[in-house]
Amino acid sequence: MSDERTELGSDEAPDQGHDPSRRRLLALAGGAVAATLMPGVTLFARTLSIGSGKTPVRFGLLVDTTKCTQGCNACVSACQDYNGLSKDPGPDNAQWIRKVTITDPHTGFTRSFPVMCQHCAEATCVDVCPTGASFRRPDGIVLVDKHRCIGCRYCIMACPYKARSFVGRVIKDQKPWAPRGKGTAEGCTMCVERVANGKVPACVAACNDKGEKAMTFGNLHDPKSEIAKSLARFSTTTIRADLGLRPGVHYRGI
Amino acid sequence: MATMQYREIPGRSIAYWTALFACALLSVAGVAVGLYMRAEGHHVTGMNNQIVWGIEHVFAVFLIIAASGALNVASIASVFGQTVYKPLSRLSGLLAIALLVGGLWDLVLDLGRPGHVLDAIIYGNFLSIFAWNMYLYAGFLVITGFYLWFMMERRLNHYSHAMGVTAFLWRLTLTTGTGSIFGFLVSRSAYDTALLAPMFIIMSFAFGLATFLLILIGGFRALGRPLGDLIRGRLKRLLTVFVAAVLYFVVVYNLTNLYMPGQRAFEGFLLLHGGVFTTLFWVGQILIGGVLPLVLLLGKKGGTSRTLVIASAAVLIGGLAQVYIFIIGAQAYPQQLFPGMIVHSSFYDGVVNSYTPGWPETTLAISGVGLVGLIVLLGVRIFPFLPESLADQVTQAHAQNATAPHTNAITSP
Amino acid sequence: MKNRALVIAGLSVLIFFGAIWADHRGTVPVPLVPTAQGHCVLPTALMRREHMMLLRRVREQIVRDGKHDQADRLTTCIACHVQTTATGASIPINQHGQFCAACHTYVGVHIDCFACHATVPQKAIPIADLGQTHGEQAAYRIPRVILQHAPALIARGHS
Repeated sequence: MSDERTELGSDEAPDQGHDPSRRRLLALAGGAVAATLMPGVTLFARTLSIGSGKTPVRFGLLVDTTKCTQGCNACVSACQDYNGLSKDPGPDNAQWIRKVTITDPHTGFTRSFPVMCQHCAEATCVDVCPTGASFRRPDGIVLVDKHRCIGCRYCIMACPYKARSFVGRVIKDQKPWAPRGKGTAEGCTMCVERVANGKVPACVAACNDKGEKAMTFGNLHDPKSEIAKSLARFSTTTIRADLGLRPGVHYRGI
Repeated sequence: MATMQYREIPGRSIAYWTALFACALLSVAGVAVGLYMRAEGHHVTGMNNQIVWGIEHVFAVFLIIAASGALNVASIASVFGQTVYKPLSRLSGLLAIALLVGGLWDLVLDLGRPGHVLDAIIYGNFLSIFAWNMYLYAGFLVITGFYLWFMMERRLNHYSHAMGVTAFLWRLTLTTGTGSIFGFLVSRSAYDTALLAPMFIIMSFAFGLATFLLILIGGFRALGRPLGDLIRGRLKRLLTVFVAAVLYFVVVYNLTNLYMPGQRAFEGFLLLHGGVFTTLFWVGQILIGGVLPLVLLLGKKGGTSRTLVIASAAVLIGGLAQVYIFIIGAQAYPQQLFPGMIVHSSFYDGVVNSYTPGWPETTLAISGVGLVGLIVLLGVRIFPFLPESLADQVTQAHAQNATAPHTNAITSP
Repeated sequence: MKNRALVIAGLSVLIFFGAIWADHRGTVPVPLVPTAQGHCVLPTALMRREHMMLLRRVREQIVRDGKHDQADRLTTCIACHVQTTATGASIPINQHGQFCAACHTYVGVHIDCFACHATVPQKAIPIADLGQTHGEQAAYRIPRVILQHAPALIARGHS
């Protein structure tokens, strides 16, 4: 059946009907813009609230690259042993901590040091995670809450430090203190279970024991802590400080 | 008469059933592969911890941006009052829904723990542009659904204009969101620019229209329904503009990078010595996806069905190459932890990563396309989405008579 | 019409035999759940109903709030309920017939805890500890409130 009642719509004649419809269009556009900007607005609000004061505890690391030697792998081995990670550095195996060697092609300056999750104050992995599985604890440690992780890998895409890995295999024989499993993202946990019991992370313990005593762990927000004193005394930097993520891992000598 | 007649397709031919069966089979294969990947873990795919998003993400992103673009034909009719496009609106809406569902299909089945996907709703992180996109996708499906309903139900025709405006603004927001998934990332040299949001919008215009054209021309030929020069000519001009605009954005994007000294190494990788990515860029994206369609469309035979089909297919191939470079190439290029330094590590720092799509994720990627086909084939058979005729005299009369965009008749049963 | 009758007949047959099959399945004997020594954090009847709620709560406290000092966490459950072989080796808690698996198989509730969590307790920590401490323990640890919600649960009529 064809319907001929074109006059039904004639109250919106093209030349007269424009104004109200344009106004409506503008109103809708305003709404759409507001919706798009929402993440930015929440981000801004959070930034404001952060500026108000320091948390009592923020755990962090200081790596003295002038002490770290290229041949030493003690921190990496300790991490693998303690957290039950594979020792085989295949492309799909996780490496929570790795030794990186950098060389300046123009000057020949070279350094070797460990890189792990930088436990940023403005962690990109936390911002992008759709479920909030990637999160920052009150003590400054950035973790994956695997109970919520859906395995989308957006955090791995977003991390500038290559600190996150994805578990692509069925995992067995986990350590009770380091749960990890197929289909979730993971990264350095700063050995939370050790830290909770008053111990330093495995990499730091190993560096002090077998290595060159190049790593310091402690509370960045306690001016009396060893790490805070060192940071106040020496010139240090963070990796890609230009990105403004305020990492909790600091480096001396790079 | 001036009213447009829509009719369900008969769907009794062997070709129809074959196509339907093939699409259904592909969709089921996607589920099977998704379950297999979930059971075994992603080590069975070609992806690893260097290339974490693979070919299924390429297809997913492509389908999602094509989805919002496919709705444009309807938007041009409702929002901008170009009534000549009105008869195409229903197909445009259906295709938009199908493409989006197909893209999300690929994304969800690829997840490490697809069973936990509702966690994104239960917990939700409103700082995440990814989480925002989930709401944008869901909203797009609902709004487009209502839009189709208002267009097809005569008593609700009156509201279809308002719904069309809403859908148009929503799809702009959606594509902005999709572009921002990458644009907001500071971590990789290829991303981290606000240009990606408008670039994705213009890409969606081109990819969506090319998909629409392929289905329209193919469908009308298979059905033996007439498709006149008028409609073809208009769509041809639109596609020409969109393809040119995509090229413009590509030029600006690369020129900006070339001008920044810190980004030149990345451009060198992309344009000169990136192996497969360089080839894909020059041959796939620029030549097949940009130059070839422009030459064809601007040529003397630009408006013929044959040229339109070839040009549209070229746009799609070029588009896939573009998204492939954009997602895989961006991950293949080493992350810049120490700009200007030579970097070595056991974790592939400073190394250009390689990726060969494995069969599981390739099957999954194609299954999304299969699902699109399945939804479209079922849709046009069950509901009157397709006009009976788009011959010139019909479309012309319809366009002249339709003073307002919501005066079309529904189908005759 | 013929078709409709056929469909109805088919469905009836399906439901009939389905019911018989389901009834047959219902005769599966109640499993023998291995018992542990010592005292649980809550009475058995409560634990049967509410253990998931407890675990969810405790996992939020540990993982997200950093309050690791919890008695009712999964690792302590496993440490208490795990069975050992004749040679003294622990049997994975999710193995057939073991504490978790016995019940969950019986009630047909799938759990994915053990995709990530260890299934046997383990004591040795293979790192030289050197007695190093970071000195933040006191400020970091919060006083543990034992099962604040237990009275509320009991009040709901579980006792």
